[in-house]
Amino acid sequence: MKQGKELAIETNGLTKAFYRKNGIINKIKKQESIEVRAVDGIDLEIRERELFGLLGPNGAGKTSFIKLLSTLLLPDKGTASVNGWDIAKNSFEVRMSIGLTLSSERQLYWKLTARENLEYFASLYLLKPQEMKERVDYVLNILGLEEQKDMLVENFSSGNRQKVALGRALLNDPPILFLDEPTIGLDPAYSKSFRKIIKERINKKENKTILLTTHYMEEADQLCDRIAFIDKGKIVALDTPRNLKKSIDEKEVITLDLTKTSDDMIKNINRLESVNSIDELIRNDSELLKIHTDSASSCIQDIFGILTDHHAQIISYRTSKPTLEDVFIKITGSGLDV
Amino acid sequence: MYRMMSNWSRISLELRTIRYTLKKEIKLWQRYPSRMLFLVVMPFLTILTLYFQGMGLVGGTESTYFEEFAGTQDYLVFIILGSAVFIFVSTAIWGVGNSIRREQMMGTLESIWVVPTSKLTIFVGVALFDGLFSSYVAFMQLLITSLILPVNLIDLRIFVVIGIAFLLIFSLYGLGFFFTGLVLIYKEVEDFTNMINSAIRLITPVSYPLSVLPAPLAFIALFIPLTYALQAIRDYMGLGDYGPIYQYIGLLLLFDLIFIIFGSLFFRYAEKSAKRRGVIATH
Repeated sequence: MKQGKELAIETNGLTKAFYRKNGIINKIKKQESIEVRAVDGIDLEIRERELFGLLGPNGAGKTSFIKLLSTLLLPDKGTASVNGWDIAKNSFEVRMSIGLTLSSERQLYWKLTARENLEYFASLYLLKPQEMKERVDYVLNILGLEEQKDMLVENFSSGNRQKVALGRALLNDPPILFLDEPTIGLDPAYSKSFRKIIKERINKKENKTILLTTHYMEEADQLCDRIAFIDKGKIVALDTPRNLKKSIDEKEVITLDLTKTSDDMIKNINRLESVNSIDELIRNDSELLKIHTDSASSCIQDIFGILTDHHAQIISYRTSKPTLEDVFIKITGSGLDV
Repeated sequence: MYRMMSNWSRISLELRTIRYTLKKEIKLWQRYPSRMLFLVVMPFLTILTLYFQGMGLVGGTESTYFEEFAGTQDYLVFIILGSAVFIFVSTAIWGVGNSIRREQMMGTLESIWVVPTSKLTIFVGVALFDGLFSSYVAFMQLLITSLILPVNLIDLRIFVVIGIAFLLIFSLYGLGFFFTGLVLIYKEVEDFTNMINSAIRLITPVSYPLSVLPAPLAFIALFIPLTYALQAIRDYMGLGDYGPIYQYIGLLLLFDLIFIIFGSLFFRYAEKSAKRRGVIATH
């Protein structure tokens, strides 16, 4: 780490916009291109050895934020430092300080073996010959890929490809890791073991600072020391998972999946004494009601009565403690699977 | 752990990366066995097509009519030399750009764009692979010609030819950087590639001497380094009289300087523009 710096990552007003072009005809009509702010004035501080999650729906700006920090994008406004190095002025030092995995399965050479991929990238990370051999063996070992090291990556499962990608990010033993949707597309069992490696091995044992993006709330909840909710390029909340969940007063959430709802029906439910608030999410073929209450048992009978009166068909329902998704919905008014 | 390194240490590791990039390109190439067939068959196809074309048009490999324009009757060898040098033109101009496009399509471009190694190092590795590939095809063409015709093109003179080709390749890589920048921003430039290749072949003396071209086209050829490399090589090989070779060498050095500087500056501009617009990895 650069001398005199205590934070692993620091951003001040970091902003990145993209412009959708209108095509030739609209250009002739002199219509301006549409500005989409992927990252909108983000101020953030991530401490050394912290496992920090960026949670938000698709298109919220998570990947753009990581690409800015890893020097794949240039910011329009604001500043950011990674390991004490300015992302715009010290791109070599920033790249020496980080490891990155992207959400795409296609980030490796499928026609090379796991070992060949790792050796090539080790050379690109400027590892010395002896270091290269040691690090490649080490990452193959900790990721449990020793037996498959000489297999072409095209023959790997999605989970093992993701492991090789993680191994590549660890090759140069960087103090900071950026993991963009690390478990996307993996089955639950594989996701679980992958999360364990991230938390136990890489974060706790190797003391690496990790910034991970996800739109899986359980992942963020289980892994992260702190979480920032990102929506439309802005950070809308930031705290520990526990404090975020505590930030909504309700003790329970009743989730109802209904074929249809009506304003009258929602008003009637809202009038019930123990109901604090209702979030309504419209899906493709159903509508989801999240009813926040101090006690589900005290109001569930009344709620079912109202649903019957309004001829609403229940697809499913469940009662749970507030989750991070509930907090997210409360803050942004929309779900994570948008 | 952040690794500090001296400038010298970095240079030596970057040089090693060139070797690893070359190794990676060879391995990726090898994993498609049908490509071997190309290596074996392609040089024969080119030479035999030209040979039978000569037999059909002028009843052999020499033409007195051709001598009026080119200063040599040996029209087949004239064209084969042009064709062998042209192989380097295509790979030098488009090799790096095409490899960047391949990485974009494979999805690996961002992974290699985020490493500390200089892009130039990666490009040199790719260029070396292309250079080896082109050298093999060109050498085979000259070897086959020497075997089927009463002419020996594989002798000590080949080293001077390689030297001239080397000077040519530097300027072509300058153009290559320019086109690589275009690939970063505009992505699919294959049609453009084919058009430029055909235009260069049309304007420069690859298959015929400049004297057969209309004056405006021959004038444009004077701004393309391939023209001077071909004339120097043919003059040296006794296939026409094009004046002293050192003039051409001087001109090629000048082109090297101009094209490398121009190409590198454009590439840097294109990379910045792609990073600003967020289009490095887009298809």
